[in-house]
Amino acid sequence: MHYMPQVGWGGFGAPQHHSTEPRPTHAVCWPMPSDRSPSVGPLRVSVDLNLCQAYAQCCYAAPRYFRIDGHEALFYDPAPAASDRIEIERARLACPVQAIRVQEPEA
Amino acid sequence: MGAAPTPERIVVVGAGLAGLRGAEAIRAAGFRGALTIVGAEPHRPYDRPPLSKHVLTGQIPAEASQLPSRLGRDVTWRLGVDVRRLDREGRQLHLSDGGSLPYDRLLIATGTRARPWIHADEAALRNVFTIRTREDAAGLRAALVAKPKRVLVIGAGFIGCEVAAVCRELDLPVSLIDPSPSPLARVLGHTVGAYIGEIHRGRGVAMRFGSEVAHLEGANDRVTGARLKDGEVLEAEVVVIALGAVRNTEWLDGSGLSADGGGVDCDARGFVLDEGLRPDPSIAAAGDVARFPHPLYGGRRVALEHWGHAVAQADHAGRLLAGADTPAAYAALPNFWSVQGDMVVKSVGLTDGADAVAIVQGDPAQRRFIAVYGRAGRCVAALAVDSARWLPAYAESVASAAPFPPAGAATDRPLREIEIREPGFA
Ligand SMILES: Cc1cc2nc3c(=O)[nH]c(=O)nc-3n(C[C@H](O)[C@H](O)[C@H](O)COP(=O)(O)OP(=O)(O)OC[C@H]3O[C@@H](n4cnc5c(N)ncnc54)[C@H](O)[C@@H]3O)c2cc1C
Ligand code: SF4
Repeated sequence: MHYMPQVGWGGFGAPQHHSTEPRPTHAVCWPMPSDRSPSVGPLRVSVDLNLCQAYAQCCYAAPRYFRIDGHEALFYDPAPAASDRIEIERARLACPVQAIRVQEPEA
Repeated sequence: MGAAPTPERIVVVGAGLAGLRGAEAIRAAGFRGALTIVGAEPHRPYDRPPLSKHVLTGQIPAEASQLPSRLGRDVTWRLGVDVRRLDREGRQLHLSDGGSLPYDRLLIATGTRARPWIHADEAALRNVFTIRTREDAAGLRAALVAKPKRVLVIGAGFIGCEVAAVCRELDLPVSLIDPSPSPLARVLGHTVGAYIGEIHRGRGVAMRFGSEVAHLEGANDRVTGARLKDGEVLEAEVVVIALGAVRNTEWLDGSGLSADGGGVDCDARGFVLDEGLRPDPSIAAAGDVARFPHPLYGGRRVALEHWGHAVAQADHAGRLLAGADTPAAYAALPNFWSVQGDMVVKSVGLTDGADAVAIVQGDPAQRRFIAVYGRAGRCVAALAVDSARWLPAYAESVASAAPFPPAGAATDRPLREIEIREPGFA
C-alpha cells in the first residue's frame, strides 16, 4: 500500500476492498449517532491540505473516509467511527507526505 | 531572554488552530509547568476550512471538525470564557466570568472574526449570514437546504468564491457581487482573477463585478435582496456576507501593546511589541491575529489569515515561549489552499506588490494552470489551479527569490514562450 506506483488519479485500478461498491457518498457513510457506542467518541482526523498532493493513497486505504473529487480535491471525514481505527491508521501511514493527523477518542 | 527563570505558568488565549498547535509546541518543547487554554467559544478547537465547503454541501455536520490534539490531559481548558483585559504589569488576565488568571508567559492566538455587514440593522435580518464559526455554518447550511430561489454572495474573496461554488454544486441559483473587476482580484490581481471568474461563470455563477451593494432589503425581518449603489435591486432569499475578517484585539486595549484591527505587532522572533515598539519577552502571538515583519518580503509587516501559517507560526511561538531554540526570525513561506466546488486553488508566497505575472504551466482555458508572480525581477508568489503537484518546484523559486520569470526545469515550456503580463492589481 505504502508506495504504490501512481498512474494518476483513478488509473491504478480499484481499491482493495469495497471494489464492487460504488464510491460511497459521504452522507451515506457518516456514522449515525446510534451507530456509536455512547462511551466512545469518534476519531479526530485532519489533513494538511497544503501538503496533500492528491496522491489518493488514503483513498485506497480507507475508501469510506477519504475521496478525491474532480482532479485533486480531497474530501475526508474529520470524525470517523472509532471502530474503524485500523482503516484510518492505514490511511495515515499510507500518505506519502504525512499530511494526515489522527487522534484517538478521549475516554 | 536566556537569563529568565523557567516559567511556571503558560496561558494561551484563543482556543483555535493556533492556540492548539501553540500549546502542543509548548509541551513538545519540554515545558512541564501549568498550561491553560482560554477560549471564547464553548468548543474544543475545531477546523474552520470545512465550514465553507463540505459543511455547506451537507457532507459533514458542522460539529464534526474538532481538531485532533496531542495535548492529552495535562492541560486546563477554560472554554466559553473570554479574556476581557490584559494587565502586563500584574501579569494577570481578566476574564468574562469575573475571574482572573495569572501567567508567566502568554500566547496570544485570538484570531479574527467575520467582518460584519456595514449596516447592523440590515445584518440582523433573517437569512443574512457571515461564516466564521460552526454555528454560522450550521445556520447557513439550514438555509441552503430550504432551497432558496437565489443566494447572493457579497464579496468575491476565497470564502465568497467557495460559497458560490457550493451553491452551484447544490444546484442553487447564486450571484456573486464585488466592486472589483473579477473574483479574488485583490489577492491575485485581475489577470488571474478573470481566469478563475471564467471557471465560476462556466459553472453557472451569475457574476456581478464592478458593482457595489448599498443596502440589504427585507420584509418581515427576513432579507429579500440587495439594492446596489446604482439603484438596481437584486432579489435573494439568502445573503452571505464575505467581506473578510477583523482581528480580535479589543481585549488588548489598555495593555500597552501595539495592536489594532489589523493585528497585534510582533518582532521578527515573534515576541509582541509594546507601544514604544519594544518587545515583551514574556508574550508571543501566532495565527490570524499576529502582524509581523516577513524577512522574505523585505521585512514588510504582514498579517496572514491562512491555516498553514497558523500552524507554522504557532509551532514557532510555542517553542519560543517554552525557551526552546528557535530561529532568529520566523520566516515560513506563506501558503494556502482553497477548494471551490471540486477545483483546488493553491498558492505559495505573497502577491502584494507584484508587478508581473506569467502562466508558466498548463492553460487557463483548460482550467488547469500555474501562474508565477514577479516583483522587481524576482519570483514572489506562485498559484496553482488544479495543478498542486507542480507547485513545490515553484515554491522553491519563491523561497529563494529566484529570477522572474523562472527558467528551465520548473516550467513545461521554453522561456521565450512565456508571456509576461501585468497582474492587474487595482
Ligand atoms: C470559513 C473559513 C474557511 C477557511 N478556509 C481556509 C482554507 O481553505 N485554507 C486556508 O489556508 N485557510 C482557510 N481559512 C483560514 C483558517 O481557518 C484560519 O487561518 C485559522 O483558523 C486561523 O487560526 P487562529 O487560531 O489564528 O484563529 P481562529 O481560528 O479565529 O481562533 C481564534 C479563537 O480565539 C477565540 N477568541 C477570540 N477572542 C478571544 C478572547 N478575548 N478570549 C478568549 N478567546 C478568544 C475565538 O473565539 C476563536 O475561537 C478559513 C477560515 C474560515 C473562517
Ligand atoms: S492526504 Fe496524503 S495520501 Fe491522501 S490524497 Fe493527500 S497526499 Fe495523498
